[in-house]
Amino acid sequence: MPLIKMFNIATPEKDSVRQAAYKVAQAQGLPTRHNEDWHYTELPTLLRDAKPTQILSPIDFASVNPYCIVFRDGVFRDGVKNIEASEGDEAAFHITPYAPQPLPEKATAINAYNMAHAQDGLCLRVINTPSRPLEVKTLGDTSHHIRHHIVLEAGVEMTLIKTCAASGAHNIWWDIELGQGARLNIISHHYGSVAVETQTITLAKDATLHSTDFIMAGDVVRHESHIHLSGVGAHAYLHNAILGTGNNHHDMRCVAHHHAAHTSSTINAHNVLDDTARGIFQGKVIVARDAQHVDATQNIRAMMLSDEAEMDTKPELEIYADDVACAHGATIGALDDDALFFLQARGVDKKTAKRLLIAAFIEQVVATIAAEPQRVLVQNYISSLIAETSSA
Amino acid sequence: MSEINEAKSSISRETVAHVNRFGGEHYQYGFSSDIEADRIPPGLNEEVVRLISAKKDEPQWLLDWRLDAYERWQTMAEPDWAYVDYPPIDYQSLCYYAAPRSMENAPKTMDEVDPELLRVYKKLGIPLAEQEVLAGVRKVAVDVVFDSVSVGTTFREELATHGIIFCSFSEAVREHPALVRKYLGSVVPKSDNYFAAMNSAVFSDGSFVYIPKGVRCPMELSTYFRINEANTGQFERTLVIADKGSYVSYLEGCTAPMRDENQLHAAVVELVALEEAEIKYSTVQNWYPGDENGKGGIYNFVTKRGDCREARAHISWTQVETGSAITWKYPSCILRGDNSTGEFYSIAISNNRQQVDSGTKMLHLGRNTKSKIISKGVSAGHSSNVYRGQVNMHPKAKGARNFTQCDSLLIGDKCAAHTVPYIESKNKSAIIEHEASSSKISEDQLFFCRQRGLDPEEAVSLIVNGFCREVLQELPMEFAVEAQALLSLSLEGSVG
Amino acid sequence: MSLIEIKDLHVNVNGEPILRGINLVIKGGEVHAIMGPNGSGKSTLSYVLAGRDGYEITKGSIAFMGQDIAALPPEARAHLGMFLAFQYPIEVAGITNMTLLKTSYDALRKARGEEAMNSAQFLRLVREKAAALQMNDDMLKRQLNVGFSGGEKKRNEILQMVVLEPRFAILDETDSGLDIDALQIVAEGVNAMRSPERAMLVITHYQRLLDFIRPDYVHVLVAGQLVESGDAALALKLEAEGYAAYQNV
Repeated sequence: MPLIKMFNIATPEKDSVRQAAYKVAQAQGLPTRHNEDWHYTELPTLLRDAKPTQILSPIDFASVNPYCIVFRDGVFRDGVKNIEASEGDEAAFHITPYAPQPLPEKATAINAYNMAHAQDGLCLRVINTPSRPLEVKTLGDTSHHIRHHIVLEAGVEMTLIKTCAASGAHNIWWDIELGQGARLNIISHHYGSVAVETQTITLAKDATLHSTDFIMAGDVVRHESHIHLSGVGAHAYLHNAILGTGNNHHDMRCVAHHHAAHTSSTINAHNVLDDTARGIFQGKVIVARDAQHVDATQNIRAMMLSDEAEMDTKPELEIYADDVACAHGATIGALDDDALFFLQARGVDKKTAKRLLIAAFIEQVVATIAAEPQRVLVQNYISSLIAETSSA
Repeated sequence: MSEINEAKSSISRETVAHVNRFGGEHYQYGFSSDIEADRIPPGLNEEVVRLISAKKDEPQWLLDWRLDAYERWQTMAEPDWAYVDYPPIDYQSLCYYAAPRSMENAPKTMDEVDPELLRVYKKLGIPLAEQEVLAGVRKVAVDVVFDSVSVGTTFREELATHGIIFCSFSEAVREHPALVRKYLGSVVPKSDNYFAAMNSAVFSDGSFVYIPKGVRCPMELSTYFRINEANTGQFERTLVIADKGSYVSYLEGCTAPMRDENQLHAAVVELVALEEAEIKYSTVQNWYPGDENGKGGIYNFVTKRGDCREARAHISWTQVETGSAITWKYPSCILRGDNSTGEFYSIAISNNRQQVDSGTKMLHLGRNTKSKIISKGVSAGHSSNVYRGQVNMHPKAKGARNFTQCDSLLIGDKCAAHTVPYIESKNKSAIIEHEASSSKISEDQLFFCRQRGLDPEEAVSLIVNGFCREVLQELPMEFAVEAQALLSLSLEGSVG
Repeated sequence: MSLIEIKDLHVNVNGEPILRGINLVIKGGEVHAIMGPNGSGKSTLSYVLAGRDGYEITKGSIAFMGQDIAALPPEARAHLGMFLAFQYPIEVAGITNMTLLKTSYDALRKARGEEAMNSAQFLRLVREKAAALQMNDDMLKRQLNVGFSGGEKKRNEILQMVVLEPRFAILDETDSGLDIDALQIVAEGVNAMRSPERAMLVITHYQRLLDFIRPDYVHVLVAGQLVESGDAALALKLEAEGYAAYQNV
């Protein structure tokens, strides 16, 4: 069955919320390149042509002992009891059953499709700081829409690990809200064969977000983040990496919306492209009128390992306030010959030297994961992935 | 502090004084002139296209070319991706051809030009009579386009001794049909975009330049555009061909009267640089920008593109954009020849309700091609200023390099500055470096300047000139002073 | 036996001849200095010895411990015991100093058929050597040369040398960017390495470094050729008189 079908399923007539969402979705249709936000990703064509391949096994975070919630084939399978009755964290989590909500105004097609079709998702309120990270896993070999809603109450601090390792296509939507002074660390990594994942994260006053997002494999993956810095003193650190091999199409879009004064955002992206892979990184900083004293930087880099690979990037600034310091830089190039020669001159063979340099390039993203056990797991995993790339 | 010193040293007190001489006059070119004109009825249809072609006594091939463009234009949609906002344009209410009546029997030499026209240009500060060019001043040959037609070209005989052709487009069609036919539309195809297609159908006149093999053009060539008639669109077409090993520097200036309604300007400029040829194209665009409430002003939808068609060719665009209500303009380079180079230096100043969406495209097709983009945007008032650029490295562009720097300066909290770069690489040996920044004019710098005795407007002018210095220094001398003065003038009323 | 033997070496870079017939024999225990004006080919010589791509040997040979090494990749030469201290040390974000040292050290051991050293043992070894160069633990943990001052970078090169213990070390303009105190520390590190089975080639523009690292032989490289050789006194003469006399030839 063509994947595109997953977006065009009839919704039950009596379900008015879903019906309304489906109307909005159909009115827009799936995004094409004529939609600036999807400039480099012609989704209908990619969905038509995608031939899901074998997926890699994801990073196993068992050793850091996270609370683990699994969505298999679009529905919640496992983990609630474990989370709610856990010793020491009894009062940390409050979970409610999934129910579709009316769409916000100007919802995108992807949002609308998701609302129309999602059957399940995690609706979680985090009331107290849990003692362990929370991992949400997406698994399964059929195609689904999943919709999560997480609220961190004021002052709560949590690490969220998002693992998408489904061989079936997925459209995953996250609405995340950070209360005043809340802190959220996200580690997200993709292996799914075909996936569209969107996260909208709203930060209240003095909230802090550290998000480290990886697309490590997958035929067609679109990862989109909208960070809304709505409260004074909110800060977002957004680190992203793409490792594209084979015929992968990896598209990341990361938008920092500065609605409030005295907010800051850092967007970093390190992208490695091999074989005939195509990598896309669209970063955007929007500073609203009167959001003065905003500090925003974007730094996008790409390392091209093959002559048939392609990297496209669009680091945008959209600024309506004058007292701001916004800057961005983008560099695209090959592996550094000087560094390669240096390592060889120190006795490291060419193959190992290349791998080291690629790993070092991605390490600049990995290093932003504050918790060492998680960081080491990611590092090791990436090393093993790099060893499998054809140019290294 | 060093930044301030740098800014200060890059512009002299003289410049500030020069700026002050403009006094309170906001747009000094805003007069209109009573010159009897030959206009055709408003509206755009096949008959109008045929009429324009017939008025110019054009050969059949050019009429066919225009009709084909018109046909394609009808199937095209007006682009909507730029960050500009304007009420729908009623293309059927515009007049597509207006020529001064006195041109019906076109003058043979400058001496025959209508004295009223000469007075207009004198008022604009452009000497058309060759004897008016003072001894000791570097010569600038000028082609003047008034509304839809070229009214005169200076220094033609002297240029002809070098084999250089510099004439109006209509004349080139008559005198050099082979060259026109070979190159017209070869850089900007007639259906390239909505406005280029419209221009291809109804273009009225423009300038034509051909520099023969190995010739270094001994003087600056220049075109001054002036829209005078009300409700008239201006659609000129410029074609510059630099044959192997030649060099030319070309200047373009534009002004228009102050009118309450908006006027449309949709020009096409095509540059062709053959092997080792060099074209330097500079523009000071000072179309009427509208008043402080956004009433009136020129809609400037221009397609400019250069083709480094052969090895080691070089094309450099320099633009100072201070005018127009709307600017939609992306002077670009196709770097086709191996080792060819393209440059784009831009200053775009927007004030009041002006909207600028401008930038460049550098398309790297040949090996070891290099490009450099320096863009300085200054927004003030309620204006919006967008840098939109594309750098594309084709798979065959081995060893290609690009460096881009685009900086935005915001003056006041009601304006907007955007940066939209498209950076695309399809080969691993290509290197792209892109830097951008947005910031406000520094309070420290302003305070420093004022403490040293400058009033706020002088201080802003000084700092803006410093901010733009990398681009200003690329301008030919003839334009540099005018440009510096313009920067200050455009920002009047932006502080205080 | 000679450690390195360069015979009639001609090298082109981008098709241009840079070295035009170099002859040089260096034996164990010797320290040779090569001095010359800018653009004379000093760095080309160091790169061609270390095996960098883009340096085309058009004529002549380079033998290291009796083996022709002209066709060997840089790492194979490093495995044989050749070390180049870079004139412009390379920065690599994402790799720490310690990771680089361990990777390199293990690669050399592996080439000799030895097991990798355990990490704790290696850390002790490196700390000890770093201390001698007045480098602290913090510098070991930092990313390779990222944010290092010019002097710190050069010291880092010498640290790599003393850890890897090469048979033959080329010091390419190691003195540039060093103040007198840093120069002394670096020179002490280098001098401590001098031994009968080890040789060094010190490439420098100025005589200053040679006050601290006393060479046995000094050669003058001008326009791709060694135009004069002598003992340490030659360096002093060059310092006083400059290279003008040679360049007029």
